[in-house]
Amino acid sequence: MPIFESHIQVRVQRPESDGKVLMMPPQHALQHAGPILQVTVSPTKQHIDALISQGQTPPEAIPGFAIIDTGASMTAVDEDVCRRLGLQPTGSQKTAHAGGPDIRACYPIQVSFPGTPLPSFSTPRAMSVNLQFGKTPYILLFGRDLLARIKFVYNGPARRIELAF
Amino acid sequence: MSVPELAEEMKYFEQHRGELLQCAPGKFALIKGAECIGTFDSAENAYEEGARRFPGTAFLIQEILPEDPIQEMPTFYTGLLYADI
Repeated sequence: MPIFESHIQVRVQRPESDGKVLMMPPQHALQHAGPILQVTVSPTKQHIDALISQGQTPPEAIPGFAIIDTGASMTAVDEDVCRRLGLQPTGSQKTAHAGGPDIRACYPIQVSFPGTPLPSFSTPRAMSVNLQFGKTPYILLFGRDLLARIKFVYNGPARRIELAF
Repeated sequence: MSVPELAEEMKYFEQHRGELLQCAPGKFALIKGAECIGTFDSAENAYEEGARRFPGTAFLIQEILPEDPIQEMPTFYTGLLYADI
Protein backbone atom coordinates (compact mmCIF):
# COMPACT_ATOMS: atom_id res chain seq x y z
CA MET A 1 0.00 0.00 0.00
CA PRO A 2 1.91 3.13 -1.19
CA ILE A 3 2.12 5.92 1.37
CA PHE A 4 2.37 9.65 0.76
CA GLU A 5 3.58 11.86 3.62
CA SER A 6 2.84 15.59 3.51
CA HIS A 7 4.49 18.18 5.72
CA ILE A 8 2.27 21.24 5.92
CA GLN A 9 3.93 24.56 5.12
CA VAL A 10 2.24 27.82 6.10
CA ARG A 11 3.28 31.30 5.03
CA VAL A 12 2.22 34.15 7.29
CA GLN A 13 2.18 37.81 6.28
CA ARG A 14 2.25 40.33 9.09
CA PRO A 15 0.84 43.57 7.67
CA GLU A 16 0.80 45.24 11.08
CA SER A 17 4.63 45.23 11.11
CA ASP A 18 6.83 45.22 8.03
CA GLY A 19 4.56 43.16 5.76
CA LYS A 20 7.15 40.45 5.36
CA VAL A 21 6.05 36.95 4.50
CA LEU A 22 7.42 34.44 7.00
CA MET A 23 7.24 30.68 7.23
CA MET A 24 5.39 29.40 10.26
CA PRO A 25 7.53 27.04 12.36
CA PRO A 26 6.79 23.48 11.24
CA GLN A 27 5.79 22.42 14.74
CA HIS A 28 2.86 24.88 14.52
CA ALA A 29 2.00 24.65 10.82
CA LEU A 30 -0.03 21.45 10.93
CA GLN A 31 -1.97 22.57 13.99
CA HIS A 32 -2.64 25.99 12.46
CA ALA A 33 -3.56 24.99 8.92
CA GLY A 34 -4.96 21.52 9.50
CA PRO A 35 -4.58 18.63 7.09
CA ILE A 36 -4.39 20.48 3.78
CA LEU A 37 -3.22 19.34 0.38
CA GLN A 38 -2.61 20.94 -2.98
CA VAL A 39 -5.06 19.58 -5.51
CA THR A 40 -6.51 20.30 -8.91
CA VAL A 41 -10.19 19.96 -9.72
CA SER A 42 -11.28 19.20 -13.26
CA PRO A 43 -14.23 17.73 -15.13
CA THR A 44 -14.41 13.94 -15.13
CA LYS A 45 -12.77 11.98 -17.91
CA GLN A 46 -16.24 11.21 -19.32
CA HIS A 47 -17.11 14.92 -19.47
CA ILE A 48 -13.79 15.80 -21.09
CA ASP A 49 -14.28 13.06 -23.68
CA ALA A 50 -17.77 14.43 -24.43
CA LEU A 51 -16.42 17.95 -24.92
CA ILE A 52 -13.68 16.74 -27.25
CA SER A 53 -16.14 14.67 -29.29
CA GLN A 54 -18.27 17.81 -29.69
CA GLY A 55 -15.26 19.78 -30.93
CA GLN A 56 -14.96 21.81 -27.77
CA THR A 57 -11.81 22.52 -25.79
CA PRO A 58 -11.95 21.14 -22.27
CA PRO A 59 -11.28 23.63 -19.48
CA GLU A 60 -7.97 23.64 -17.66
CA ALA A 61 -7.91 21.95 -14.28
CA ILE A 62 -8.18 24.48 -11.44
CA PRO A 63 -5.47 24.31 -8.76
CA GLY A 64 -5.97 25.14 -5.11
CA PHE A 65 -6.03 23.82 -1.58
CA ALA A 66 -8.14 21.03 -0.17
CA ILE A 67 -8.67 20.40 3.50
CA ILE A 68 -9.37 16.93 4.83
CA ASP A 69 -12.43 17.19 7.07
CA THR A 70 -13.31 14.03 8.97
CA GLY A 71 -16.38 15.86 10.30
CA ALA A 72 -17.91 16.21 6.84
CA SER A 73 -19.99 13.30 5.65
CA MET A 74 -19.70 14.35 2.02
CA THR A 75 -17.06 16.00 -0.14
CA ALA A 76 -17.73 19.61 -1.09
CA VAL A 77 -16.35 21.60 -3.99
CA ASP A 78 -16.32 25.34 -4.39
CA GLU A 79 -19.31 26.50 -6.42
CA ASP A 80 -17.28 29.02 -8.39
CA VAL A 81 -14.94 26.23 -9.48
CA CYS A 82 -17.97 24.32 -10.78
CA ARG A 83 -19.09 27.37 -12.77
CA ARG A 84 -15.63 27.99 -14.22
CA LEU A 85 -15.34 24.35 -15.30
CA GLY A 86 -18.79 24.38 -16.90
CA LEU A 87 -19.91 21.29 -15.01
CA GLN A 88 -23.35 19.76 -15.42
CA PRO A 89 -25.24 18.85 -12.21
CA THR A 90 -26.03 15.27 -11.26
CA GLY A 91 -28.35 16.01 -8.35
CA SER A 92 -28.90 17.95 -5.20
CA GLN A 93 -28.15 17.33 -1.57
CA LYS A 94 -29.74 18.39 1.68
CA THR A 95 -27.45 19.85 4.29
CA ALA A 96 -27.98 21.75 7.50
CA HIS A 97 -26.37 24.69 9.23
CA ALA A 98 -27.11 27.27 11.88
CA GLY A 99 -29.44 29.15 9.53
CA GLY A 100 -31.52 26.06 8.85
CA PRO A 101 -31.69 23.46 6.10
CA ASP A 102 -30.18 24.08 2.72
CA ILE A 103 -30.19 22.31 -0.63
CA ARG A 104 -27.05 22.38 -2.72
CA ALA A 105 -26.36 21.25 -6.27
CA CYS A 106 -24.00 18.30 -6.78
CA TYR A 107 -21.51 17.94 -9.62
CA PRO A 108 -19.19 15.23 -10.96
CA ILE A 109 -15.55 16.14 -10.47
CA GLN A 110 -12.09 14.68 -10.78
CA VAL A 111 -9.52 15.49 -8.11
CA SER A 112 -5.79 15.15 -8.75
CA PHE A 113 -2.81 15.62 -6.44
CA PRO A 114 0.00 17.17 -8.49
CA GLY A 115 3.53 16.30 -7.47
CA THR A 116 2.47 13.27 -5.46
CA PRO A 117 2.12 9.56 -6.22
CA LEU A 118 -1.55 9.71 -5.21
CA PRO A 119 -3.92 8.61 -7.96
CA SER A 120 -6.69 10.85 -9.19
CA PHE A 121 -10.12 10.40 -7.66
CA SER A 122 -13.40 11.07 -9.33
CA THR A 123 -16.79 11.29 -7.73
CA PRO A 124 -20.11 11.68 -9.53
CA ARG A 125 -21.59 13.74 -6.70
CA ALA A 126 -19.66 16.46 -4.90
CA MET A 127 -21.74 19.07 -3.11
CA SER A 128 -21.18 22.67 -4.26
CA VAL A 129 -20.74 25.35 -1.60
CA ASN A 130 -18.96 28.68 -1.37
CA LEU A 131 -15.53 27.87 0.03
CA GLN A 132 -13.86 31.08 -1.09
CA PHE A 133 -14.62 33.54 1.68
CA GLY A 134 -12.14 32.45 4.33
CA LYS A 135 -8.54 33.38 4.96
CA THR A 136 -7.50 30.24 3.09
CA PRO A 137 -9.43 29.99 -0.17
CA TYR A 138 -10.06 26.27 -0.35
CA ILE A 139 -11.48 24.74 -3.48
CA LEU A 140 -12.29 21.36 -1.97
CA LEU A 141 -13.37 19.97 1.35
CA PHE A 142 -12.43 16.31 1.42
CA GLY A 143 -15.24 14.44 3.20
CA ARG A 144 -15.77 10.94 4.50
CA ASP A 145 -17.22 9.66 1.21
CA LEU A 146 -13.79 10.02 -0.40
CA LEU A 147 -11.92 9.15 2.79
CA ALA A 148 -13.63 5.77 2.53
CA ARG A 149 -11.21 5.03 -0.31
CA ILE A 150 -7.94 5.77 1.52
CA LYS A 151 -6.13 5.38 4.83
CA PHE A 152 -5.50 8.74 6.47
CA VAL A 153 -3.22 9.37 9.47
CA TYR A 154 -2.91 12.70 11.28
CA ASN A 155 0.61 12.20 12.62
CA GLY A 156 0.86 15.04 15.13
CA PRO A 157 4.22 14.09 16.70
CA ALA A 158 5.83 13.91 13.24
CA ARG A 159 3.92 17.08 12.17
CA ARG A 160 2.66 15.56 8.98
CA ILE A 161 -0.28 13.80 7.45
CA GLU A 162 0.03 10.38 5.82
CA LEU A 163 -2.16 9.04 3.08
CA ALA A 164 -2.09 5.44 1.94
CA PHE A 165 -4.07 4.12 -0.96
CA MET B 1 -30.71 26.73 -3.76
CA SER B 2 -32.59 24.71 -6.36
CA VAL B 3 -31.15 22.97 -9.40
CA PRO B 4 -33.21 24.24 -12.34
CA GLU B 5 -31.40 22.01 -14.85
CA LEU B 6 -32.81 18.96 -13.06
CA ALA B 7 -36.28 20.19 -12.10
CA GLU B 8 -38.08 17.69 -14.33
CA GLU B 9 -35.93 14.78 -13.16
CA MET B 10 -36.40 15.64 -9.48
CA LYS B 11 -40.14 15.96 -9.91
CA TYR B 12 -40.22 12.57 -11.64
CA PHE B 13 -38.23 10.96 -8.84
CA GLU B 14 -40.50 12.31 -6.12
CA GLN B 15 -43.54 11.05 -8.01
CA HIS B 16 -42.02 7.58 -8.35
CA ARG B 17 -40.00 7.28 -5.15
CA GLY B 18 -42.44 4.73 -3.69
CA GLU B 19 -42.31 2.42 -6.70
CA LEU B 20 -38.55 2.64 -6.91
CA LEU B 21 -38.25 1.86 -3.20
CA GLN B 22 -40.19 -1.32 -3.73
CA CYS B 23 -38.09 -2.60 -6.61
CA ALA B 24 -34.60 -1.18 -5.96
CA PRO B 25 -34.14 0.09 -2.38
CA GLY B 26 -30.68 1.48 -1.68
CA LYS B 27 -29.68 1.51 -5.32
CA PHE B 28 -28.99 4.57 -7.47
CA ALA B 29 -31.49 5.65 -10.09
CA LEU B 30 -30.36 7.29 -13.31
CA ILE B 31 -33.09 9.67 -14.49
CA LYS B 32 -33.18 11.83 -17.61
CA GLY B 33 -36.22 13.98 -18.24
CA ALA B 34 -39.31 12.07 -17.11
CA GLU B 35 -37.72 8.66 -17.58
CA CYS B 36 -35.85 6.31 -15.29
CA ILE B 37 -33.06 4.88 -17.41
CA GLY B 38 -32.13 2.25 -14.87
CA THR B 39 -30.98 1.48 -11.35
CA PHE B 40 -27.39 0.76 -10.38
CA ASP B 41 -25.43 -0.60 -7.43
CA SER B 42 -23.31 2.54 -7.14
CA ALA B 43 -23.45 6.22 -8.06
CA GLU B 44 -20.26 5.67 -10.05
CA ASN B 45 -21.91 3.04 -12.24
CA ALA B 46 -24.97 5.26 -12.73
CA TYR B 47 -22.73 8.15 -13.74
CA GLU B 48 -20.81 5.98 -16.18
CA GLU B 49 -24.02 5.01 -17.94
CA GLY B 50 -25.43 8.54 -17.85
CA ALA B 51 -22.25 10.02 -19.30
CA ARG B 52 -22.29 7.40 -22.05
CA ARG B 53 -25.92 7.97 -23.02
CA PHE B 54 -26.18 11.72 -22.42
CA PRO B 55 -22.67 13.12 -22.91
CA GLY B 56 -22.07 16.63 -21.71
CA THR B 57 -25.60 17.17 -20.37
CA ALA B 58 -27.26 17.18 -16.96
CA PHE B 59 -28.89 14.03 -15.62
CA LEU B 60 -30.00 12.96 -12.17
CA ILE B 61 -28.31 10.31 -10.06
CA GLN B 62 -30.51 9.69 -7.04
CA GLU B 63 -30.04 7.19 -4.21
CA ILE B 64 -33.32 5.40 -3.63
CA LEU B 65 -34.14 5.91 0.04
CA PRO B 66 -37.37 6.65 1.95
CA GLU B 67 -36.08 10.17 2.50
CA ASP B 68 -32.93 11.99 1.51
CA PRO B 69 -30.24 12.07 4.20
CA ILE B 70 -28.98 15.39 5.49
CA GLN B 71 -25.24 15.70 4.99
CA GLU B 72 -23.14 17.05 7.83
CA MET B 73 -20.48 19.70 7.34
CA PRO B 74 -20.09 21.18 10.82
CA THR B 75 -16.71 22.81 10.34
CA PHE B 76 -17.92 24.62 7.28
CA TYR B 77 -21.35 25.69 8.39
CA THR B 78 -20.34 26.78 11.88
CA GLY B 79 -17.51 28.84 10.44
CA LEU B 80 -14.79 26.78 12.14
CA LEU B 81 -13.17 26.28 8.76
CA TYR B 82 -12.33 29.97 8.81
CA ALA B 83 -11.28 30.33 12.43
CA ASP B 84 -8.03 32.23 12.97
CA ILE B 85 -5.90 30.44 15.53
